[in-house]
Amino acid sequence: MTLVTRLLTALLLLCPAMTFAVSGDFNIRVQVGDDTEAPTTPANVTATPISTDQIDLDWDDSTDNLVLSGYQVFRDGLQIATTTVSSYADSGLTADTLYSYYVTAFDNSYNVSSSSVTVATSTLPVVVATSTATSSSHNYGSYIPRGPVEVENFQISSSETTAVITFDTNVYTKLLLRWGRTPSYELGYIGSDAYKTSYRTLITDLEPGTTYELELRLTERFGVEEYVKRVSFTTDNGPDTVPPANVWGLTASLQNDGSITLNWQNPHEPDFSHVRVVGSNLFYPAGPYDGWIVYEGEGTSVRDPRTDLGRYRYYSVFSYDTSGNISSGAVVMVDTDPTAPPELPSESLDTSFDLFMSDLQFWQSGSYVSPDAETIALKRGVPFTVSLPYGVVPEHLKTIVVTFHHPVNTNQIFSFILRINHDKTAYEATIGGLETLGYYPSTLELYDYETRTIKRAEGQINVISEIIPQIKHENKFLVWWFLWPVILLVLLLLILLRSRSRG
Amino acid sequence: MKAVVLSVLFWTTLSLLWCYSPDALAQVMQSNNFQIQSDSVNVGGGNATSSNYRLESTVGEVATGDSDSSSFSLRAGYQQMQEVYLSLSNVGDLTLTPTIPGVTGGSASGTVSVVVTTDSLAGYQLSIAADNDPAMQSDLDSIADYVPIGAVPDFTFNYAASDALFGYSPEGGDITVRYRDNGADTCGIDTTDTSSRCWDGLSTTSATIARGAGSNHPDGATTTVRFQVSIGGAVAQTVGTYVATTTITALPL
Repeated sequence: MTLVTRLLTALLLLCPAMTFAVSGDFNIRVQVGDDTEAPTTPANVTATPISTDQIDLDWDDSTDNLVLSGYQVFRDGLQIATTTVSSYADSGLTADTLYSYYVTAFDNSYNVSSSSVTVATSTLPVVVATSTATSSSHNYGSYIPRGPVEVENFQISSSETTAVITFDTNVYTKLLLRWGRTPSYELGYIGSDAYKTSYRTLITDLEPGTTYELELRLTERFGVEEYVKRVSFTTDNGPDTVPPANVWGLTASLQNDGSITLNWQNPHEPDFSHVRVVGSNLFYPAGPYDGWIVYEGEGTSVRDPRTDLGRYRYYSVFSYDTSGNISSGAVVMVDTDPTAPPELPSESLDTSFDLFMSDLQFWQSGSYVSPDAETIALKRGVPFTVSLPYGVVPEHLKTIVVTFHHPVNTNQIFSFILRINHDKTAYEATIGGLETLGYYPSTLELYDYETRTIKRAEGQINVISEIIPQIKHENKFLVWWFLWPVILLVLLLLILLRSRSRG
Repeated sequence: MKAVVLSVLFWTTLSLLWCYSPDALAQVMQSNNFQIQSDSVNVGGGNATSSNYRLESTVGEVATGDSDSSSFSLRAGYQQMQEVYLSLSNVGDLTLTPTIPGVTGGSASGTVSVVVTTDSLAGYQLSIAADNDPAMQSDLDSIADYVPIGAVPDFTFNYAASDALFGYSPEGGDITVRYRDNGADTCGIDTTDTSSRCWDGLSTTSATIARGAGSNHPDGATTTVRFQVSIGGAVAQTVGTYVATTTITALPL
């Protein structure tokens, strides 16, 4: 490579650096000793009458040696407002009345500037203009209506829980904004108390992934024109915090070699990911890390070879969804020496509070299942959530377990832990749909920190079949087969009567 | 007999008509939640409209060319991207807090953050310089720039009772080794970046505080510079507002 080539290459490499450097200047300030320097005086104050009851003020920004905090607005010598921006809409005034204004600026040490020049103006007078065509009258003042209200640059920017509505209007208007989940706009409203031409309104406390109805009602000055706009918007979906359903049909069987085989059915949810089986010789594992991990994967059975961990073996199976949510846990206990007398902790019933099966709430397909004659009727094959309100039981409890007995095979018992939900309002377990029709005897048990049962309630749930609309057609055929002999009988009677009349 | 046959035929026909006249003929699909009256599918071109939007399906050229603002320079488009893209976020003025008492002295500090975004395959370099010497000045007095004891920045901001000093300490993933430390007591060691450690003084000569290797587009890289003024109790610092006008520069490599 020649020297010239090297120089040219070096020059080319330097070119971008010489061309595209970007700089920014900024000031760093520090105050030594008390800040006694006031901001500059607000300049170019203007007062503009907007309506019979509103005057708008505007002025140039002041500056401060450190930090400017805001402005004070005075009307007729009395302070009426403090604002952080260099404008103010003074409303609620009397028509055709002269008002004078001045403004001061202040900093964060509350040094106040000198007063601005005082400006004065009058609100618009009330003038009754009569329309000969309709014989109606409006208080137009000196304002000349400019035609219908028009909304421009309308935009809704929604997040998971908020929505910002921005728009401009071609004339000064007052706003009434209502919203709700239905067109009755039942959730709230916001009204502006001054006439404006530019709006930016924030709605908070919305629910993620929810569609809202919004009504925008703009009243032009003097109520000459009214603009109504109705739109709907949907907030962003929040993160998936709904735990998946528990596995169903969890059973544990003791093998001859002392190992334990577990079987279960995974939930059919589309976002189901995998299960984790956790074992313990102390009590039901309350979470996926509370014990030894027996298995993790998408399978439906596992053999736990451990044989030297005490007489009672407790297992919990937690299902995971693809968002990492974890089910409350399906649980099962195995007695490795069933012929010996039980060694389980004795009950220690707590009489300081009551617990009933009716304290449990059932939810299916997002709807509350109300009890019918103290029996809960659940649809077959549809997952359901069983929920115990947070305040029903004391906070110091260790474990809450709900158990369902199979309606036909009474040896099959399925237990689930109720875990505190995301909103900390209830202890919940979601369970895949029950496939066998009939009554499931159910038990709700509370255990203390020593794994003693301190409360027990019993009841039952009834799994029923859903009514399928297609049955309507089957009924028609059914009716037809019942009616056919009757019709034949009628025909035979007609024939008999006719034969007799001929005879 | 003929009448009998006719009668049977009549009733049979009537019954069959009643039986086979279910509403299945009136629609294609039905459930509790929806009903499809026709199963035909129409496919066509044109525009899609609704009360909320209008979509015109086109395949064409998106906007290209140069865009400039006070904080960045952008070159977009297929051919344009052969040049280097570099942006520097706006840096606002900073007031150090709290106010330093005039009699007893004390310290005031604050931070500014800048984001440099570039598609330069060689990366970028960020430097800082003061407009004045010393940097921090008032109408009547000034505060000296911090001078480290050795060749590398001081691990802690050191000042004596008779000192009035103004220094800075950069932090971020791309800061140069000069401002990295060993997590204990020494700067200039490429081990970690301890917060509020490794103090240097501004100068009218640019000092490189960060250097990024490779493109970081579109996320960019953030560098935070912490500034501090400390005045010892024995200093009779003139009461007033002190200002340091500072320039920060990003350069593609």
